[in-house]
Amino acid sequence: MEINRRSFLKFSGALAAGSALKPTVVHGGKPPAPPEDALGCLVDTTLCVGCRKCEQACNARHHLPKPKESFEEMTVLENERRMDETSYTVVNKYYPKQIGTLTWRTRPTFVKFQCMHCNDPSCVSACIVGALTKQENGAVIYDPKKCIGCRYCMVACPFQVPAYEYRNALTPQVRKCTFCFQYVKEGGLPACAQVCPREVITFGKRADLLRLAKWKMKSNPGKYVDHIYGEKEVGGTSWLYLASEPFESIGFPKLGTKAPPRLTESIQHGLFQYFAAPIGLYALLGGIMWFTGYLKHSHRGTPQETHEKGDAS
Amino acid sequence: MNLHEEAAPVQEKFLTPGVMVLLGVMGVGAAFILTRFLFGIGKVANLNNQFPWGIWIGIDVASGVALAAGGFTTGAIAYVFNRDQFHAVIRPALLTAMLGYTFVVLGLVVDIGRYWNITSPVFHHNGNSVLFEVAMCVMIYLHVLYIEFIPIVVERFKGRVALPGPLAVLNGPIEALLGFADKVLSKIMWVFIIAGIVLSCLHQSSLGSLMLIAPYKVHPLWYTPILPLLFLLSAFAAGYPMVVFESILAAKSFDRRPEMEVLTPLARYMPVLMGLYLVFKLGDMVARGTYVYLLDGTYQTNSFIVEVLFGVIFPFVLLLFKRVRKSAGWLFFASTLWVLGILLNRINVFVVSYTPPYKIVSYFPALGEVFITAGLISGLMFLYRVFVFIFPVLGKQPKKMSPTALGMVIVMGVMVFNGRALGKEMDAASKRPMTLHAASVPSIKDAPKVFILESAVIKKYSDLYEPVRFMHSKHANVLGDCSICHHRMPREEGDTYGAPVKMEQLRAMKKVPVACSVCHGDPFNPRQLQVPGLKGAYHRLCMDCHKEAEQVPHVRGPVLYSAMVRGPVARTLDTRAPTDCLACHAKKVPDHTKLVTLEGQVDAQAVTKNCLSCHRAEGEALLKTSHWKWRGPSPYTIGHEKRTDLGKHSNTINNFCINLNGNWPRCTSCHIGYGWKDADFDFKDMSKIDCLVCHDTTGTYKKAPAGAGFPKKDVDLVKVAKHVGRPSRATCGMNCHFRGGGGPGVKHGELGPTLLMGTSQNDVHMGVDRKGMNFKCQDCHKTRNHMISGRSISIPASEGDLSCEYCHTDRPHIGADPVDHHLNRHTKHVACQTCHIPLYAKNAPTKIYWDWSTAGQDRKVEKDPYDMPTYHKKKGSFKWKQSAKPRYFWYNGTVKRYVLGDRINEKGVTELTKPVGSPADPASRIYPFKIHSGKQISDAVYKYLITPKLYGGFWKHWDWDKAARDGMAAAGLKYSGEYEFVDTVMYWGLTHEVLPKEEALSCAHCHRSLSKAPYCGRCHQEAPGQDFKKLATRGIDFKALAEQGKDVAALIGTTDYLDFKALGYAGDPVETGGRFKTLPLSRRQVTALK
Repeated sequence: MEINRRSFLKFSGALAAGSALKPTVVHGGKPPAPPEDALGCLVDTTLCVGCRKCEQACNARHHLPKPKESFEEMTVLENERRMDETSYTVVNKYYPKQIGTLTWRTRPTFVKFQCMHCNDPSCVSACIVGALTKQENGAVIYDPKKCIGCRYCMVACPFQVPAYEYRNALTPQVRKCTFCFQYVKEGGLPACAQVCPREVITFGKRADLLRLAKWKMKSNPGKYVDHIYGEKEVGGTSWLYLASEPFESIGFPKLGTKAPPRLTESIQHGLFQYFAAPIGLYALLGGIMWFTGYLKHSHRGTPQETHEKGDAS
Repeated sequence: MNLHEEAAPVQEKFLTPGVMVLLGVMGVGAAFILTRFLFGIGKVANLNNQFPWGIWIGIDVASGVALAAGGFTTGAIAYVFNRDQFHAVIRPALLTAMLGYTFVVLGLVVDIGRYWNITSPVFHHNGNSVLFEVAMCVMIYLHVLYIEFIPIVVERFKGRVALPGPLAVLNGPIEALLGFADKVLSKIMWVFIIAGIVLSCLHQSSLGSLMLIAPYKVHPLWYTPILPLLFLLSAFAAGYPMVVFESILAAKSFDRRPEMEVLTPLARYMPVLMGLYLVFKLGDMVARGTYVYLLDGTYQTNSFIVEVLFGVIFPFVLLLFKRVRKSAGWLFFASTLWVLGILLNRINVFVVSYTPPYKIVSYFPALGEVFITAGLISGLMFLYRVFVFIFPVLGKQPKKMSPTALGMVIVMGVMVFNGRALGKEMDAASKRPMTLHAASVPSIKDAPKVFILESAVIKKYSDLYEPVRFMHSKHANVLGDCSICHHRMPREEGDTYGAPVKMEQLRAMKKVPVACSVCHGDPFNPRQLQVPGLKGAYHRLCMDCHKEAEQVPHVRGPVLYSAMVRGPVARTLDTRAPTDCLACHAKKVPDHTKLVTLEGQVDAQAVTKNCLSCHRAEGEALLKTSHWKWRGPSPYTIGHEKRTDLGKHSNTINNFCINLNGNWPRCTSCHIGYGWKDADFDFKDMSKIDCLVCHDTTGTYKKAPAGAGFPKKDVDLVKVAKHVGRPSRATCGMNCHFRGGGGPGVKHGELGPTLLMGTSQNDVHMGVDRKGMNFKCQDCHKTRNHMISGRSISIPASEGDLSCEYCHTDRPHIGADPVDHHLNRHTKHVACQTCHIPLYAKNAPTKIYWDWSTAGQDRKVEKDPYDMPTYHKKKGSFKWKQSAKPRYFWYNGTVKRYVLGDRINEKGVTELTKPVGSPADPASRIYPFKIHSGKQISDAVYKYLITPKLYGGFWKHWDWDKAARDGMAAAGLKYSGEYEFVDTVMYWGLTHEVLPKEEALSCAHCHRSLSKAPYCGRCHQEAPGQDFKKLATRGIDFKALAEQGKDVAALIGTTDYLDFKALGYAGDPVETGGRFKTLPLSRRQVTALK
């Protein structure tokens, strides 16, 4: 094989192999700042009584299939459940691990789970076709038309939220809370927040909600653990939680503050910035190919060529 | 570049036993693949929402790509580094890579759910997605591989194109095309070769980046930011071992000499590449300190140890030895170890290390997943064989190489992020009117009685339930502090939070607390997010007390004395505040006009079937109720506590229409079923349920008088069905219970049609006037699964207790009145009903006497003063009474009951039902009763009551003997042939027609001692402004009632209303002492003091 394009020589000297091969972390992956008036919900788990009305309202609004057990059936709370393709939100009941001497400590905590609508969503970053998008109002929504069903979003989600219609042969969809996007866009309320009898879920601008959460903690000393779940987790989420029990004991995963897409996007964008790495590697390989071919044809070459070889590699 | 190597198509027997096995595995795989495409992934795979990726990704895709690395690594060494001696392994490696990547794509088509949309990434790009990059690289690389394969095709067919038949015309053009390709490709092939290597480097590493998006799910032993580098290095290192593995395997299977002259030099590079990988892998582990996990014994750690020890270190060490590299066996062994190590690594990263935060089910590949994977691999091997038989891939003197390579391809695109501007913002804060009521000093006494917590604000957001009837005065009474609920007061216009309120403040300010809606309106008002909306405010406040776990067990102490909750075993009435939705709300019935799918003329059972199409569970529940079975458990009937078959269905008897046996179609016209016309009615057939008689809201549904429960012919059933709703006084009452015994008010003295739209003068709960509360029956008779609470003395079955105390507690008198203290002390001995139902049948007469012995005569029918007939040929003679005074008895909740076949009382009146109780029994209280006396047919020899066949019997032939014979045959009892008429009596408990406190009995009505001066002055000092006479005598005014035309003239001026002596007292308990103790200033004691 021969290469007689001299142009490769120019490139090959200029580019170092390492930069091309090793994915390097560069500063390209700045998290997208959440829009100022992004909306969110603040869930005060100390208020929730586990009536499952949010599940019912969500089911009705999204025309999801009727569940096996009716929404009035409270015994389902005794098992930890997760969202699935037929339910975008579930309420779980967590008994305190240690029963203290104070009566209020023996009370179970009810926690409503749904998509957290992260500020910097892993699923959106992961989605191969951009079927999942972060909207300006904070919602992370799904467009089945683009989706190919690879389920990478489900792998990516740190909260294990997206569910999949494994039983649908032809048009399976990824299913998750939509933040009632269409309704909210038109000035409505998310179904769960609207129906919640105790207003466990406060709906509003995320910034206001954070203020509200802090106000609640300040004006009820000792009631809440000193943490607003979702304020900083994986870069912040639209849904925020207050609780009187440590969050790990009421079904929340312990997560860092960095959004996972920051790492992967840094690597990706570092690798593909101006396509430098692939082009550089291409040039390098071309150079080597030309040079080794040249050596082969000039019968072991001259000292000068050996010198060039050193340059090239 | 010279791609024309010394290779030729294999010319051997194609179908060997091995190939047959391959075909078999392919067949099984194909069957599973077909299943997957017909019924979905869930049918064949164990993938779930916790484990979205399984071995299809781990093996078919990730391992496939890694193990197809032979293609680009041999390309690199043979062409880029121009090591000509390795050209021999180029073509097999290329074919493996090409087929491998093709099958990666096929594997993906199986794995991705919307496989028909696999081209989507080409049009929709997401540049942030690692997967997008992988997919694009793989897609392009696959095409590069195809292009690289073209020269082999050209070599095979150039100059030999000879298409058969009509296609022969194409021979020329195809030949020309091949010639052109040959000419051009040889010049530019280097472009594709380098491109292939670059693309491989990119996606081999990016495959590692894939899992970096899930830092919290991948086990730390594998999760490292340099995972892409490790993937790339391991792919480099996997290329040559894979070539060696294939080559030696092929040689062995073709029974040829392994090409050690090529493989041994190739093996020299292996330890170098492996060593590099090993250094990074172990270095990373040390750098991140993850070695701490190594000994924790989990399956993940063990898998990691196996991977590193046997898949990396062991083959690396082996290959350091020259002897190993030179020996075909050892080299094969080491290479295989490495290949398996890489395979395990990829499975580990994608499957084993994956730990979902919520693991409800674990993942292990299903048979379908395994067989589809195996089938794809077999397919690849088979296709490889086909190719080497057609194309010049293997060396002329067949050296062989072969099997597996898998690949993956996904498709991609850069997504265009169309940030869509959000429409409207949330509504601006809605302004709330602020009204301060300047009124009297707030007092619990003046607290409004009942609020219906209905608000347009709430309705706007949610209408699942009907509004709560909030017993405001009761709560005020129990809590005793307005400021618990009315906790804030707006300070000024625009104040969004309000000032805390205290009771003293309210009193000092002489201000009535503001209503909830003053501060609480629409939810989520951005200007005052901390203030819940009206619905939230109500529920938070209510449920702060109405919650299970923390409730003080009995807000006002346990209720021990209500007979209505007592039985054979004394129990405590739980007066805890209700905690479930339905205890406070009624569920709203959705509009059924669209839900009911009936049109035109239909029969009644078609309606029921339509109902059951949605309400099957309700139908099943109804089959268990006593309303359906007309029998049930009788825990309160003395002597029959354990039975479950007592009821009018067969064995109870009354002195109205006597008994069901033989009289079905007439009696069962009140049954909530269709077609109970004889003893063979099928109680298991849900389609016979009459839903409409209870759920009609139109008021037009009526049953035919003797139709065995079927409706009248002229009822528009479809219209009724389309307007079903919750039962009401109209359905429970007008359709049945107001007309028990064959006419309005006949049976239950205190239940009659006057209650349908009566006032508080008829019943304070059901009255529809301002003072009444317009209760529906089920507001008190709480219903669960169609079981309706409440019981009657006349019916043995019980489906739940009901007592005034459920709502009013056993200290029902608020305490704001001077006599409340004394009234509350009555509740252990006197039931609420006793004072609050001073009269029954207040507005319309009820039957109090029924003499069957005179039936059958053609007599002139006379009317009594109430304009009621006193005789009916079919029934005999009656007596009626309006505004009747109840009779009072001790009652502890249990009942003596005459059951069919019991001996009658030969010495006197036979008691068909009788309340049990005595003054000596602390559980007994004084209750009011209606007494219904009768004269009915009995067997003169056997001395038990007879169940005559009236409908279609006596009423036709007027022959008691025949009626008795037929009826007793139906009842299964012997009839001697001689009958007589005996006196019987029934006690009917009174619980309705409850009058407000102003209309209850006064103290003086019962206590003679308080009906004259000094009234309360016996014990108390009269304070200024107090009037003891008024206190003691206020209550129902018989004089006024008599003037209104009620038949109560005889009651004017009465005292000792209950008849204390008949109840077992020595006299007025105020004077003679109570049943268990004497009062401090009673006469006995006063006498003693003298």
